[in-house]
Amino acid sequence: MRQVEKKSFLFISCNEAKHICDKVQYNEATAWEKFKLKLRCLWCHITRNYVNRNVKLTEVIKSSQITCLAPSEKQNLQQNLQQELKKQKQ
Amino acid sequence: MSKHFINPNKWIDKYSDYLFNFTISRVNDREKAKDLVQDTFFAALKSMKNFKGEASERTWLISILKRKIIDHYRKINSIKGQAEIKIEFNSEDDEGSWLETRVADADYKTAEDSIINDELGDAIFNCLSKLPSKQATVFRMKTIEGLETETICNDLNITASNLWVIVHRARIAMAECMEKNWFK
Repeated sequence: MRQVEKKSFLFISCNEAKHICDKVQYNEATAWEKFKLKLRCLWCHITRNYVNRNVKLTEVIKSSQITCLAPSEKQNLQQNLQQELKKQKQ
Repeated sequence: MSKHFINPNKWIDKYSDYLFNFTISRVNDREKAKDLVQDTFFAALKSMKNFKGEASERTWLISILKRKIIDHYRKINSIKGQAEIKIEFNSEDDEGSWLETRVADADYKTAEDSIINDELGDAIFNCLSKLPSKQATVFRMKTIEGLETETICNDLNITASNLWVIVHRARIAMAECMEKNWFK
């Protein structure tokens, strides 16, 4: 039988830290989660590296101000293009 | 030299975001940008026979789009020119004052800013195109469009924990790719 991993109240695993770090990039982490992440960063260089890299990615995407089409807009474009393709083949 | 081939069925998936981003940074109007991208695809379909395969599909599409954008501004300028003459004729006392309202631009960007932003956008879309399609879709919806977790989960029919796993993998791949192509 698989044993259920006991979760510590304060100390989190590296994977959990990475998950919280991802959520932080989208402002979806709670204050308590952020605190636990910071605590782990104090002694885990793997988490620290991951956080630095992740923050850098968020910053660069924000600074680029890129936008893209919504899925419905893409679908519309695709339909119009397909119609045009059909017309050409006829 | 390797020859490039055309596949219109893949255009929307592969290039629509890149072309749209390129356009919107130049026309500042979402609807107009969409129209220009669509016109570009239609024009590309018509001139497919002229594609020699010397440039990549994307380069070729961009060159068509650039012409479409120039045409768009030519049209605007001809309409604007008429409007300006009218204003000048209507208010002789205020001669020249209407120019000021047109010159002032709070969001003024230098040419250098635009070039850096274009290159950065280019690098991001390049990296995005290398991701598996599901990762790219989720990353785009969450990071670029800024959609809520719940909305994405409903749209793509996935659970929240599934979404975070996909986001995590996509972010690792994107960070690695950007390190190679942008931060180096």
